[in-house]
Amino acid sequence: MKIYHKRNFAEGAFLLVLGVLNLVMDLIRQDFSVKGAVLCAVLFLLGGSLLARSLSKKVSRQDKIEALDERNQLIKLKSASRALSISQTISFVLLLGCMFAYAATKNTDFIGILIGLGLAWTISVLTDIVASIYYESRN
Amino acid sequence: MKTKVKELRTAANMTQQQLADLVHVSSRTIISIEKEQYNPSLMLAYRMAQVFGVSVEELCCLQENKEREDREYEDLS
Repeated sequence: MKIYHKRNFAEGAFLLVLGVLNLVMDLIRQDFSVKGAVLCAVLFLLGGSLLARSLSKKVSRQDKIEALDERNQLIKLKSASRALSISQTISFVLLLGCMFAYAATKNTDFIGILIGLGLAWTISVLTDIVASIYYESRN
Repeated sequence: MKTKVKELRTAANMTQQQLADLVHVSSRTIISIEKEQYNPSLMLAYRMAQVFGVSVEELCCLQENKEREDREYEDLS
């Protein structure tokens, strides 16, 4: 048995282990629900298929070509960039909303939300700036 | 960007998958290039040109695309 795609193998194994752990926890707690069963099934299916793919030479080659494909890489970059912009905008809008809500209601619960949102927004902006500086200097 | 990929591929009796395998990309990339939805990188264009035995300029219709871009640029001013 040869592993042709190490990343897929690792991800598949990880998902399978998660599925097994989930099943074991449900058995220990005697807590069986539809949600838990669906989660287990999905984890086993995904993990099993990734594992099977990693052991097939032909399929692994296809997966590697897809990963290295320039169009796919461009799409990944564009979607990550757009996702970051949208997340930053939404975080900022929610931050402003919470500030106005606190100012209007003086409800201290909003402070916790403000801190969380503020941290998330600040981290995303700072990492964006640092990454820009890094790639600016390298290219 | 307009290219001659589809024209040259069909003349060579090649499928999109076969061309994709020769130039180390996915068939989806070849489809997008033929639909003018994606511009190939220089290396990819060079690989395809070598497969078909033509120059990159001819494959990517560079002169025609340049003239079109020049017209669009002139329309801006």
